[in-house]
Amino acid sequence: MPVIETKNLIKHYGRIEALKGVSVTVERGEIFGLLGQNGAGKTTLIKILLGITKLTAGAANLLDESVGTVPVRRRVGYLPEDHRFPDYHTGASLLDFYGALLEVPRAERRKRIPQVLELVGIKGRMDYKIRTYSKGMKQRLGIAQAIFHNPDVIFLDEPTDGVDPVGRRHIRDVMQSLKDENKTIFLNSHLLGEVELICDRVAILQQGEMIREGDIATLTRQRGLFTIGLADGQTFPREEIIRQGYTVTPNGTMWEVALSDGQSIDPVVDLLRARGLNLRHLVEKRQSLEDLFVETVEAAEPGVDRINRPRRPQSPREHRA
Amino acid sequence: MKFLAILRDSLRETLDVKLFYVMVGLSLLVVLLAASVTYKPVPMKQRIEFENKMVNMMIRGQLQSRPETAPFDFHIDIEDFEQLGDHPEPWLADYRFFYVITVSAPAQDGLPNDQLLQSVRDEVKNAIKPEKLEQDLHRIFTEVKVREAPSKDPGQIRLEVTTSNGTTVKTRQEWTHEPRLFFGLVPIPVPVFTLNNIIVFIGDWIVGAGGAAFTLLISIIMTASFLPNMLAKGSVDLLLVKPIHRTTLFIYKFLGGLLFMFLNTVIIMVGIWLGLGIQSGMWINAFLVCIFVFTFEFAMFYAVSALVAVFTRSAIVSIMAAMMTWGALILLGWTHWAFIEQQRKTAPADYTNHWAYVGYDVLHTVLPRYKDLDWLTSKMIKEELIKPSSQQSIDPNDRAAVEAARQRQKRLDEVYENQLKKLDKEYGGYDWKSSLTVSSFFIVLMLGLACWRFATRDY
Repeated sequence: MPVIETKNLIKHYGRIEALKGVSVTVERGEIFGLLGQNGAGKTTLIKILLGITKLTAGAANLLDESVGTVPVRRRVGYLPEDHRFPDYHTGASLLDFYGALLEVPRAERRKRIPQVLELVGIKGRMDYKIRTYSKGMKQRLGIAQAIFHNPDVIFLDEPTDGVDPVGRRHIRDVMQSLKDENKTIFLNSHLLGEVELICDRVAILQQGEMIREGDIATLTRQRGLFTIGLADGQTFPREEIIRQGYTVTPNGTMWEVALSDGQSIDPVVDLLRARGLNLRHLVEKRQSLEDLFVETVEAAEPGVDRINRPRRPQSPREHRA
Repeated sequence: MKFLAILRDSLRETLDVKLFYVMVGLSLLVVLLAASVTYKPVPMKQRIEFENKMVNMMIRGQLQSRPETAPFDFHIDIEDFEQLGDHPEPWLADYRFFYVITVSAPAQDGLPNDQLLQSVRDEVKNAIKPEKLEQDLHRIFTEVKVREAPSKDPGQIRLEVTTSNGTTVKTRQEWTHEPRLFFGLVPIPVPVFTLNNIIVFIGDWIVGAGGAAFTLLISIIMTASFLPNMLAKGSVDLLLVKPIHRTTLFIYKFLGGLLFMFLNTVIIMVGIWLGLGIQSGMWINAFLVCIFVFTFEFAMFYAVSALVAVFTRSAIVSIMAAMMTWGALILLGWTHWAFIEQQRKTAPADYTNHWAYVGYDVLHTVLPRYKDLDWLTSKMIKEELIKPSSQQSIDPNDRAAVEAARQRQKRLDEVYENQLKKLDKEYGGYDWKSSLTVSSFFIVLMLGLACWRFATRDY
C-alpha cells in the first residue's frame, strides 16, 4: 500500500493552473525527491498533501487516508521552505509547543527535546532564543520539529538550504537513519547533488505536470552509450565496429560506442575478443542528475520561472535601436 | 493540552515584547498611586471653621455693599472648641464651642458714629439669633443647643454651641475627608468632598474613563500582532499541519489575546480595588465586575482586529481597523445620546419621525454598544457608591433611637431613589441586556467571518 498516492491531481489558483493532473506514488521507507524549476508546482503539491492547500480536482491520499484529516496530520512531519519560527521561542520551547499541539505527552516531550536536538546537532543552543540562531541552525531546528513526534512521513522542502557542507552531510545522515527506521521522506530540493546522493526515486515536475519519474539509477543511465577501454598498446578496431552499424567516437584514451535502436553491445564485445584484444573497461555511461534535470526541462516546455539562458547576441540594428 | 499550549505561546509572545513591561510598569504605578491615597477624616473643628469662613465672606460682602456699613470690620470666630468625650470618629462625637461675632469700627476720625455701629450690631445680632443658628446647625448635628453667653467685650456677641448624639452623618463614607497622596505625604486640598464623592471620582474618571481607555489602547496594540504573526508565510504552514482544526486554532489564538487583556485588567482592577478598600474601607465590588466588562469591550475590537488580520496579515492594518472601530463606536454612542436618546421624550413628533432620526436609532441598535457599556459601567459604580450603608447597631429597647433610625433610613432610601432616578436620566435609557446581546452578536459575526476565511483559505 503506497504511503503517498495522488491521482490526476489538479489545482487552480484562479485562472492559473498550478497542477495539471499530477499522479505520483511513494512507497513506505522510500526517500522520494521532487524536482522542478521555481514555480513548477512542487510546493503546491506538498501543501495539498499536507492539507494546507485544497485540491481542485483529482484524488490525494496520505497514509491510506484522504489528505488533510486530523488523524493523518498526527503522523506527518513538515519542514516548509521559507519557514519562520516564532523567534520569541527557544529551540526547546518551540519543540515543546509544537509537541503539545501534536499531542505528545509532557513527559515524552521533556525526554525527546534534548534527544532530537542532539540528533540535529544544536542541543548546546536549545535554551537560546531562536532569533540568535544562524540560518543553518534554524534549518536544523526545522528538521528537529519535523521529526520530533516520530512521524511516519516527513516532508522536507529545501532542508539543506543555507546549511554548510558539514551540516548538509549531517542532515543526509539524519535522513538516512530515518529511512533505516522505515520512515518515508518526501524531499523537495534544488540541490540535485544532494538529491542524487540520498533519494531512491525522483520525479520532475514542469509547469504543473509530472514529466519524468523513476529511480535514480534508471533515470541517469544513458541508454545505448558505452565507454570501452583496451589494454595499453592495443588498437581499437574502430572501422570494423563502424561497419557493423555502431557510432564510435574517441574519448581520451577510451572510445565511446553508441548503439542504435535494437542493437546490443554484445557483438562489439565478441568482436574485440575475436581479435584477441584485452577489454579493460566497459561501462554503460550515466549522466548526473543535474544533467538529466536540465536536459529534461529544456526538452519540455519551458517553465514559468525558467533557468536563465544566455541571451541571443543582438544584431547591430537591434543594438543601435 | 492544545489550548494551554497556545495560551502559553501567546503569553511567551507577550512577554517578548518590551512594551508589555512598560505597560505592566504603568499599571503597577496606577495601582500604587491609587493605593497610596489615604483618606483622613476632616476634624469637626476644621469643618466648622471652613463653613464659618464661607459665612464670614458672605456677611462681609453684604456689609460692604452698603456705603454706610462698608467701613465696619466684621468677623465671626470659633473659640474654645472642644470635643466632649473621646470618640475617635468625628461624625459620632459631641462638641462644645463658641461663635464669637465681632462688629467694630476703625479708630479713625470722621468715621461712622457709635449710634450707627450699635444699629449694625443689633442688625447682626438679630440675624444670628440662637434659635436660627440652632436650626442651621441641625444640618450637621443630630441635637444641638445654642445659647447666648456673656461676653467681656460689649462689641462682641458670644454664642455657645453644645451638641449631643453625634452628627447627622452615621457612616464614614458620608463624612468629609481630605485625600492625601503618597501615603499621607501630599495633601490634596479638597476638604468639602465626602469619602463617597472622592471614590466616585476615582471610579468614574480614573478607573472608568482613563484606566479603561489606557488598558484598552495598550492591549489592542499589544495583541494586534498575535494573529498576523501566526498567519505569516512560513509560520502558518507549521501550525496548519498540526492535528488541530483551523477554526479551533483560530479561536484558541483569539482567546489567548483576550486572556492577555483579562489578566492585565485583573492586575489593575484588583490592585485598585484592594488599594482603595484598604485605605478607605470601601470595597467597591463594581470595580471587580469592570474586569469582565473591559475584557468584553476589548473582545469587540479584537474581533475586528482578527478579521482584518486574516485578510491582510498585517498588524498595523489590524491596529488601525480596531482603532477606527473604537473611534466610530464612541462617536456613534455619543451622538446617539445627544441627538436621539436625549430627544426621545421631549422632541416633537416631526423630529422623532424623521428618517435620519429613525435610521440613526436603528444603526445604534444593531451596532455594538461600546459607549453604552462604558456608561453602564460608570453607572454601576455610582449606584454601588450611593447605596445607603447599613446603620450602626441600635439598642432595640431604645424606642426613640429606633424611631430616629427608621426615619433616617427612610430619608436615606428616598435620597437613594432620587439619586437613582437622576442617574437614569443622566445615563439615558441604555441597558445591560441589549447592549451585551447586540455586542456579543457583533463579536460572533466578526469571529465567524474570520474563522470562515481562515478555514477556507489556501496558505
